[in-house]
Amino acid sequence: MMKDEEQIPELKEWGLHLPDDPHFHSSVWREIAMRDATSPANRVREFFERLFTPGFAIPAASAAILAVMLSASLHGLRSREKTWESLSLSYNSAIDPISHTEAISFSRSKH
Amino acid sequence: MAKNLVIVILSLALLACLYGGIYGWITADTAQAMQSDHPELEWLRREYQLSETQFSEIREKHEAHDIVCQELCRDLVTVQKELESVITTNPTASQEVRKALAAWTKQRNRCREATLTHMYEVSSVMEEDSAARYRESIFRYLIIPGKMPHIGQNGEFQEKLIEHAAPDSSGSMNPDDD
Repeated sequence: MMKDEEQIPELKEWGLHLPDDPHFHSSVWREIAMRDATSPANRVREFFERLFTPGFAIPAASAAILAVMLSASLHGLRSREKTWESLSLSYNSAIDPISHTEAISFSRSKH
Repeated sequence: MAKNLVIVILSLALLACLYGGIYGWITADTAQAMQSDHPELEWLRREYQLSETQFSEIREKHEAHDIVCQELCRDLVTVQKELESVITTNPTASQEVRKALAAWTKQRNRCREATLTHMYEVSSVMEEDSAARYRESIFRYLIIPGKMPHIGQNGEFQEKLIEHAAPDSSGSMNPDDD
């Protein structure tokens, strides 16, 4: 990082007018330090820290619960429907000898 | 940070349990049906809202029919293998081929008759509306020819050749044509 004595001539060279106020210099350095702190890793950490604040955690948890409930319900209903459908075919096949034999012939022809 | 990590892991575990719980609750009836001796009969019970008495009677008929069905299946496999062998070895539709075909057709008719008899036996146990619906369902699944060149999905004749009869559009090369 550049120091005041290196930075000030450079800024003057660019034609920038710098106030003489000593507070100005310290606030510039503070701003630079703050920007350095917002590196990607820090941003990730900040994001996770924000997750645990009540303002974010409650809606996020609610959304996650709703998403899980919805996907589990859809998955369950689909699976249930498929099972009944397959049992219906099993029943038809169980009472009909031709279906049995065709199933055997078909499986033989596939192998 | 470690505390937050524990919270995340516990939350994920709770969500997984919630998922499993809801899925298990919704699929409880099918899981129970699959564990029974005759899962396919559980479908019948549910579909036609059978009482316990009706269900027991149908189960007995089903088990009795299964013995007949096994015998018919064995005979059908025998004549089918004979027909296959005769067709493979004979270059023309000889008398031998016709005889094997007649035996195969006769056996298939015996099978269909047995299915129809069983269908009527089962439907006689059901309520009138359910019985009619059951017979219609069996008719659609088993009796109507499956994929014939000029019979549509609705079971009606059509002059135009229907695509489902094309060899690569169906896994089976065994249309019900008796």
